[in-house]
Amino acid sequence: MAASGDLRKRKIRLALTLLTVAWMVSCAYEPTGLNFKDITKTQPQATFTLNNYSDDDTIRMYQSSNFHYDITASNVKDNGVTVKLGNNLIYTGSTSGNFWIPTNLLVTGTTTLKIEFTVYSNTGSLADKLGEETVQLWHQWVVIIDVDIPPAPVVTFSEENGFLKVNWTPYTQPNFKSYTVVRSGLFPTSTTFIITDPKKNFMIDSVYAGGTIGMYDIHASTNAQSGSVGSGQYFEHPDVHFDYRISDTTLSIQWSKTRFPSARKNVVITDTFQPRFQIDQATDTSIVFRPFHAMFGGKIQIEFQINPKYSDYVVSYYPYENSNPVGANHRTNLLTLTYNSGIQGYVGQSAYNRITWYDADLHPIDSIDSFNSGVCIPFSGNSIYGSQGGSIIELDLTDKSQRYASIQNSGALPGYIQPLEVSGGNSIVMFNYHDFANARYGTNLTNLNTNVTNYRPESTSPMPVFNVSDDGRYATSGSPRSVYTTVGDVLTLVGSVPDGYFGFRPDNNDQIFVQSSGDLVIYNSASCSLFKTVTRPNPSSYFTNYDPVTHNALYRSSQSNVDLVYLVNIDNGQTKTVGAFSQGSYRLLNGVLFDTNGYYARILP
Amino acid sequence: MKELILGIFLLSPAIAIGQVQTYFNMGYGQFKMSDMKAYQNDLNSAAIVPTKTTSSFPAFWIYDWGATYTTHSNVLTGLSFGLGSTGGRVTYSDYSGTLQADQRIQYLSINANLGYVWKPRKWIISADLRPGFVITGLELKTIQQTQGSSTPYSAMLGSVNIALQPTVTITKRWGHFSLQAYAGYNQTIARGRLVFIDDNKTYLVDNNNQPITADWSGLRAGAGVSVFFGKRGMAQPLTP
Repeated sequence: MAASGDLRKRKIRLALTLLTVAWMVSCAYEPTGLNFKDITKTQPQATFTLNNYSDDDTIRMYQSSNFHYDITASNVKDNGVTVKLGNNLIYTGSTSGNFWIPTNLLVTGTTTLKIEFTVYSNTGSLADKLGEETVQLWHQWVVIIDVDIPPAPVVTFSEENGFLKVNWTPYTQPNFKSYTVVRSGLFPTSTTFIITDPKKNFMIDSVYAGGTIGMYDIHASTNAQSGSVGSGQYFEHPDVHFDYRISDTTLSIQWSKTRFPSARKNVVITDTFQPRFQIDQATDTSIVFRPFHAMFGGKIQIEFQINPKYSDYVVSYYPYENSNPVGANHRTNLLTLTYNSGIQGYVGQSAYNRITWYDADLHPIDSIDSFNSGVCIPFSGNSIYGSQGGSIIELDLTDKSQRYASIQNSGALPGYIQPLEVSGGNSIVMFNYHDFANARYGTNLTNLNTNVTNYRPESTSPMPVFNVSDDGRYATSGSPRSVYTTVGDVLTLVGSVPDGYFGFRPDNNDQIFVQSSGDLVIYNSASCSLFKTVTRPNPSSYFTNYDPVTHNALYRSSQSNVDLVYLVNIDNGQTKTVGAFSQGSYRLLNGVLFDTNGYYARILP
Repeated sequence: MKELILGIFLLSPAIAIGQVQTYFNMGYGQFKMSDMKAYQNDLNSAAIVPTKTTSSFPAFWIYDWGATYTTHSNVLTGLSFGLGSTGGRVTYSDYSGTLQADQRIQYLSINANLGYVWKPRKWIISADLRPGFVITGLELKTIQQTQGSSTPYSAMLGSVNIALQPTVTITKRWGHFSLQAYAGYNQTIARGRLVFIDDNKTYLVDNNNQPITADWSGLRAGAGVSVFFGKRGMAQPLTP
C-alpha cells in the first residue's frame, strides 16, 4: 500500500510540475497597444491652363501644333505629368511644359487630349509619407481633328454687271486661310489672285472679254496645306461667221453678242494686216465691206480682234487667212478646159493626151487615154476630134463611139494632118495635110456623115490654114482673114475682116469676132460688114474670151498684183466686174470663171 | 535550451534526497531596460509618422526553479534557474496602414544560490545572493504595411549578462511540502551586447552608435512551493 501511495504522489507531483512549466512558457510577454491616428482625406485641387485653343473644352486641330500648359497644384510628383492624345502618350513632364502633337498622330475625327498628373495626397498618412498615397488629377479636352486637305472647289461661271463672274464652292472650315485663283488659258500670262475672305468665293474678272478660253484653277489653303485644285474653263465663242459673195466680192462678218460688254473695249477688223474697222458698240454684231483682196483668185486675210477694256491682250481670229482664191473651187488639170454644149459640160485635156469630160458642176463623167493629137473640141455637137496618122477620128462623148475619115489625096501614101479644124455641129472636118512621099500639101473638107471629101486642093507649097465654122458654112484663112462660104466643094470668098481675127462666134456662126485694140469687134460672116463693137470697159482692159452660154465677153485689166475681170454681155452691154488676183489667164465658160491654175467660181447664173 | 532546463526541472524531484530542497516560484519582476527604452525613443524619433510607444518593457511574470542544500551550519548552497520576459512596442496606424515595431525580450538566468538560513519556530527564513549569468533573447519584429505594400522585418539577437540578485525568502513547511515567498533585487553587473544571431559580428546600436544592451535590473518578488527530501523531524536546516 505504501508503495502504491508513493507512486500516486509522484504522479501528482509530475502532473503539477508539467502544468506549471507549460503555463510558465506560454505566458511570455506580448507587446500590446494601438496608436491609431484619425486622418481626414481631402481631395487635392489643381488648376490647368492650356494655350493655343479658343473653345472652352474643345480643341480644333487642323495641323500639328505646339501647346503650352501650366498646372497649379502642390505636391506634384516629379515628372508625373503625362499628356495623352487618345491612347497615345505624347509627353511626360512637370507642372509646366510644352508639347507637340505631331502630324502622324492627327487623324481626322474626334479624340481627347488628356493632361494627367499625380500628386501626393499630403494627408500626412503613412502611405502619404511613404509616397504610396497619390491622387491622379486630370483635365480632358475634346479634340476635333480635321487634317483632310480642302476639297477641290467646283467652279461655275455667271455674268454680273457685264463682267465674267467666277464662282466656286466655298471652304467653310475655320482653318481657312485663303483662296488662290490662277487664271490662265489664252491670256498672255497667267495671273494669280489671293483672296483671304472666306465668304468671297467668287471673283469678278474684269479682264475676260470673251473670245478666248479663260482657265481658272482654284484651291483653298489652310495654314498647313493647300487644297485640291478645282478647275473651270469658260469660253465665250465669238461665233464669227463670214459670208463672202464672190459675185460682188463683198464680205459680211457677223458675230455673237458678248455677255461681257463691260469688259470689252471694242472689236477691230483688220484687212491684210491693216485696221479697217473699229466697232465700239457692243451691240453692233455685223459688218459688210469689200476686202482689199476679196476677189477671184485673191487672198484675203481678215483678222477679227476683241480688245478688252482692262487689259492689253488681244484676242484675234484669222478666219480668212487662206492661200486659195476667195470663194473659188479648185481642180487640177483643167488647162485646156472647153465648154461643150452637146453634153452641157466641160472637156479638158491633161498631160499624156488624157481627155476627161465633166458635167456642169465639174464632176468627171468619163475619160479616155491616148486619144490622139491635135484634139479639137467644138462648142456645138457632142463629139471631139483628133487625128491619127492619115485619119481623122470623131469621138462621141455620150457613148465613146468613134468614126474615122481618111485623107483624100492623089498620092499613094498618106501624110499627116496639121492642123485640124472641125465643124462639130455637122460633123464636117477641115484639115491640111503634108504628103511627104510626093512632097505635096493639101486641104480636105470632109463630111463625116457621108465620108465625102468635097474640097481637096493640093499644092507643092504649104496650103493656107483654114478655120471652119461649127456649122460648116463658113471658113476663114490667111491674114487679114479671108472669109469663105462653103457649099459643097466650092469655097466662095466673101471678103475679109481686119487683123485680130478671133474666130466665129460659137453660138452664132454668122458673126466673126475680131479683137481690135482690146475691143471686141463683131463682123457679119456673110458680108464681112461690121456688126457691132463691144467696147472694152476700161481703157487698160482687153478682150480675151467669150462665153457662148452666157454671151459674155471677158475683158481683163492687169494692175499691180491685182487683175480686174470685166464680164460684158455682148447682147445688152451689161457689165460685171470681178476682182481677181494675178493668177495667169482667165476664161469664162458657161458662166464660170476659170484661171489657169485650176481655180474656178461661178460668176454668172 | 528550454527543453534542457525543463528536463532538469522534471528530473529534480527524483534526485532530491535528505537535506535537499527543490522549489518552484512564480512572481513578478521589474526590468530597467534603459537601453531598450532609449532604443524605442530612437525609433520614435526616426519614424516618418508620429509613432508612439505603447509598451515599454513593463513588469511581467517571472519564474524560477532551483535546488538547494543546507549544511548543518545553516549555510545555503544551490543552483537555480530563472525565466522572465517583457517587451516593447512602437506603433502607428491610420487609414492607410500600420507601422509597428515590437521588441520581445526574455531571459534565462542560471544562478548559484549562496546564503544563510534562519529557523525561528516553524518558519524558515533564508537570504542568499544568487550570482549568475543571464542569457537574453531579443526578437525585433517590425512591419510596415499599407494598401500598396507590406514590408515585414524580423531579427533575433542575443546577449549574456552577469547579474547578482540578493534575495530574502520565507518558508512555511508542512512535512515534505512547504509554501514560500521571496523578494529580491536583480542587479546587472555586466551587460553584454545584443548580437544578431545570424551575424554574430553585428550588434544593435543606438543613434549614437553605442551598443544596446538588455538591462534586466529590477525588483523581483514571488511565491511558490517547495519539496524537502529527507526524514521528517530531523533537525536539519531547510532553505528554499
